[in-house]
Amino acid sequence: MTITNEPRLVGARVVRVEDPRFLTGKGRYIANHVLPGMRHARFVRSPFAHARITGIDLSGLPEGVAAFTGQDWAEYSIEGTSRYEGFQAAPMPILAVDKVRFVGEPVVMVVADDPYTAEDAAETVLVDYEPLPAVTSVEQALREDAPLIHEDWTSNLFVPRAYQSPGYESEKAAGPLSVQGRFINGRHSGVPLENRAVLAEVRDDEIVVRTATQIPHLVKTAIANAMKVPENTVRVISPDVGGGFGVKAQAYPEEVACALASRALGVPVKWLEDRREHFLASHHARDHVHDASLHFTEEGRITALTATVHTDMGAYSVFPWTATMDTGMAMGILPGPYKFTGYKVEGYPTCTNKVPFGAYRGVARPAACFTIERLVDWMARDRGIDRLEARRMNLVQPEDFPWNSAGGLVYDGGSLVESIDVMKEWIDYDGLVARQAEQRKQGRLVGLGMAIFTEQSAHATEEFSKRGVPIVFGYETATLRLDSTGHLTIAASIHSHGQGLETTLAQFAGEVLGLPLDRVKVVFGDTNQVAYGSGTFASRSAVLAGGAARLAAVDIRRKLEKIAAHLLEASEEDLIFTEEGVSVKGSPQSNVTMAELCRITYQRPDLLPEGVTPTLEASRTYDAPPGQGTFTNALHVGTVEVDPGTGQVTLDNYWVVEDCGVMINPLIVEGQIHGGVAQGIGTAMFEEMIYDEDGQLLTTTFMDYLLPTAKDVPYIGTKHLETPSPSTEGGLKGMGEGGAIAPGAVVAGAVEDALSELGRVWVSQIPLTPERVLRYIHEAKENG
Amino acid sequence: MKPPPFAYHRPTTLEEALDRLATDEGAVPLSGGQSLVPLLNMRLARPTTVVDLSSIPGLDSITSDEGSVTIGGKVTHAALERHAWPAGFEALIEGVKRIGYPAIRHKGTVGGSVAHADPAAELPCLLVAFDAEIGLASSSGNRTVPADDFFVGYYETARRHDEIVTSVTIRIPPGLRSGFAEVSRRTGDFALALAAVATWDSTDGRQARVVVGGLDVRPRRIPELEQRLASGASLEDALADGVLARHVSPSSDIHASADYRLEVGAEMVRRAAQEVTA
Amino acid sequence: MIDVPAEGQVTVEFTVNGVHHSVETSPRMLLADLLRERLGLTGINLGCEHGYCGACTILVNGESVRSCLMLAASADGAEITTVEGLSRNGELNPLQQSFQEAHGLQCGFCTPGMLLTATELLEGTEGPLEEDQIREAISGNICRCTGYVFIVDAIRRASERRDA
Repeated sequence: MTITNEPRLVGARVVRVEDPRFLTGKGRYIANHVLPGMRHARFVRSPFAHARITGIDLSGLPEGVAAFTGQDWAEYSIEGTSRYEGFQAAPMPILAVDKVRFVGEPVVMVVADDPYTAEDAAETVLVDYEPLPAVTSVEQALREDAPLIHEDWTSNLFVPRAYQSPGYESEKAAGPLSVQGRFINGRHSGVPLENRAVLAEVRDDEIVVRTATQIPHLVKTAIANAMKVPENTVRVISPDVGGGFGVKAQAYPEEVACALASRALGVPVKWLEDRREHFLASHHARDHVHDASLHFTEEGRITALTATVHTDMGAYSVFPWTATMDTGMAMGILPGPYKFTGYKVEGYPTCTNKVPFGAYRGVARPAACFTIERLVDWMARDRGIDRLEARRMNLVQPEDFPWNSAGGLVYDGGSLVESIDVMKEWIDYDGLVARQAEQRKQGRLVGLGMAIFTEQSAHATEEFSKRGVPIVFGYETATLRLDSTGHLTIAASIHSHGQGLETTLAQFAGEVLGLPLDRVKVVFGDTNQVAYGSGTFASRSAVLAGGAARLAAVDIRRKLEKIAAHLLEASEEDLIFTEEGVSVKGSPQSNVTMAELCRITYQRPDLLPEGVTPTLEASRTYDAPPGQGTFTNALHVGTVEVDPGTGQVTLDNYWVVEDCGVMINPLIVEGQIHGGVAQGIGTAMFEEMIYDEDGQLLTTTFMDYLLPTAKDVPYIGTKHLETPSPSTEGGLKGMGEGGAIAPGAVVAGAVEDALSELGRVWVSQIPLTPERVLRYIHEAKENG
Repeated sequence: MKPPPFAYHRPTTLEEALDRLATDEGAVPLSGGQSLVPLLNMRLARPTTVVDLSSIPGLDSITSDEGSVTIGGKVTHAALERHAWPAGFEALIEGVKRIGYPAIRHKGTVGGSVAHADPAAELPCLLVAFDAEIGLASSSGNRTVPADDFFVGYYETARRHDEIVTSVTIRIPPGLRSGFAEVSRRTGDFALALAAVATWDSTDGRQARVVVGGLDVRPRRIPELEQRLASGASLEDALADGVLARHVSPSSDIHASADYRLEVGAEMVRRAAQEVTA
Repeated sequence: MIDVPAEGQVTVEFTVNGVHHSVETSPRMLLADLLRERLGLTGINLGCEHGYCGACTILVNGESVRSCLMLAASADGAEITTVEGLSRNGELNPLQQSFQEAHGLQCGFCTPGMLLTATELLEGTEGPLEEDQIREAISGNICRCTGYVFIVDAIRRASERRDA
């Protein structure tokens, strides 16, 4: 639908309406919520990766401290069961019952007056364990004789996956040359700055769980299912959340535990995760090993890809994604934005004695991009072709869209080839490459790396149905109400925890009604206040909730047009909606303010036209077409200098040319790109969750797991292209994750390039710690 | 991550503090708190009493006289950073900037850092290179210990339980020059390897100190390299010959292996030495 | 001399955002928790409790410190500024406005600590600030959302603004 003669909020770099509370210390994070009579919980967690619980001694608990064990809650669990055939299921207990399966698994919950005494009380709890052999790697887990983590399973494999494209064998034969490697992405986590937090109470027969989550409705479902109570007796409220990145997009046992404890004790129960617990027990991600071969012709045309994907999914399948998500997504996008069609892939999501594996910005795509982009770089090197040109000739070309990819996805549009031209000109690519080559001849280890990708965003029902998730989500819901003073409230089923949805949704929907931002309020996070939806993840909220809000806004507008046309004695097509109100094209004296129009609607039904009801409320769901998602694209380029004596890498420049379709707010788009790139830099250079052979997590503080600081992230240049989505409302695409997808490949490629004067290496593992890089330097010198 | 219970003592004189340390075996002194409080929060330290030194006057200035500089135990890293050091102290200036982050340097103190003796910390390594004297006070008397004797082992020093580090004194010999180099994952992190080097004139000719940190349980001097540096000879042959490995036993951890530490340790020595020979 | 047993209470007097307070608390109470729980200063966020992330940063006697690494008892006699002390009557000060204009915050969790570190930087310097200077000053404040680009922008804007 077109709206003419309207002020355009979409596309404007509007400052965020939600900022003042964060700037003045009034953020509504769970830690800041206080309820009368509130008590504090602390979990006693397993120190073993795999063990039987043989006894729990609570006799040392101080007076007044309550405690719960797995036996108290053995009938409750969280189920993340996939619908794929052959999937081996295991419920996630709330508190471990007779066995622990990862270090950090909650075993006992104590409830005391404050966090200090709760921690004291937890120390008095004595748990006896009989250690079992720990399964701490995928290799170990998949051996014939491996101990079974879930004893009723037939192996430690959640479910094997496989796919082969119809023409694979002949395509592979058509590409007689090949490069191959083993591509390793370390185990990581989103590590938001706010740890998890829950505050549960039972009030007026309603179980109210305040929790820092990205998926309030889904958590509500999980809690209701776990506690076996009707969903309408559970209310989940997610207020301000200090970062999520996917870590807070699963249902966790601690959420159910707090609800159960509160119900049992009759008081509100608050739990604030500490940082050490966060490392141990908040879900990890990224842990991929890909064995892959790229097949190509003498001219450098790619014909096929063969790959095996192994993911270390930890001890339990998470809700709602299940343990198959990362493997499946990697399998789908490994072919990247290229037009070859030969593809054979196998996936092995594996169960180990580690904390479960959930979502983290990009979800499998960083690993997939790493693999394909490294292979393309190696192919280009093998063929003596410039790396950007090697990409250009293999990319899906503008005239090819929509393109059925080798991975079974439909790429619906984009500016892949254009982004190369834009980038080359912007950064003077040829000049830069020549300068670096000169500097390398003088002994400096400088290099340039790149990665290009297309990203599935705003995928909806059709896609999630294919993924075998237990709840097929895809739609979001928005309920709009325009009140009698002309102020609009948008209640959306997504969740804003940094990405500015309070502002962007208001921009996107408000402009339909001509409303300025200060007359639009966005509410989210309270399952009593907003209709069912999934939440915020997978780069979809602006598209799906925005789409729903926009459709509902149009519904309200159509009604207002009828009323205004009646009042102003004009025809509906001649009405214009602006900040001043509604007026008639060509007769500016014929107008009514929005406030007056609304007042009349609610309070003067006698003035309304026949058949029009005195309400201004609309609710819509939006399952964005195409159900398979709409595709964004981006090209990232970075330059590095490597210290030859220490292997330290300095990332000097980073540029992004990206296309996320129509942008609601470019300022927010850029913020998301910067944040994603920074996390990608962490993945590429600094961060790694490391378990030892006994399954002990060695990285449990910020001294061990290193987040990039302001001195580690360079200035990130961004340029926008805009290829509207052919199918979504407003032509929007989602882009919250994209920044995190490419940096691993970029830094790896840049380091490899930097060492090229010394000799040839194949950089195939991240993070690139100084030690790993120094080893590559030695290798280069040996090969050189 | 909340501290376990402890008694709190905040004296207004040094004598009171020393008395408490002497009579209470489980008491620990609290200076800047940047090393102690994390240990308390993680419950890795469980003192009976925390003796807060913050109300004790003095101990917080840097004074120079007669060819030496005396740094009070309560002087913060930030104060070290701000101080106008005479020529020759380049290593100290460089090294202090690498300690943690600004907020850490505002509270962390010289006395605290020295007493904590983290094997990968900058200050202990620098103080050995500058031949510093560590001043200790107790209720049974005061003494000084040369830095090289003070740092004994893994977080272990010559400080008795009842002593407080009250000062660090560095002589300023003629012709003093110093150099420093460190490699760490990020700028404020503890070192994977670091080297502090100093040279000066004495009646016995040119003297040198070559000290490495992060490669062993305590900072280590490398005598063969010191001899070469003092005589103006190149360190390269000795380094290539693996001299470092004969003096240190680095450990492997999640950040780096022992082999890596040895290799970059040698590189740090090279770079620090370059600063005094250039 | 103050001498309080573990189960006792220590009296602490300090000024916070210009207001004088006298409170009794246990010896082990961290300053961050005291300010949050007893004075309701929810602008102090706890991200790690071991001094690394900077989310709990406050100004004590004008200097940025980690409030999670200070015992409340040690703050006796201190002049403390928290983020709540930056705005007057709910009006954002020029630094806060710069952050909003530059989109220098997303989830907001690191923001109070970042603002106070920036306040200290601005008060200790003159003239427009360079990128390197700003990055060095905020190197101890982790942000997981913004990638720092717009935070640096915001602080630079604020430095240009103060001379205008």
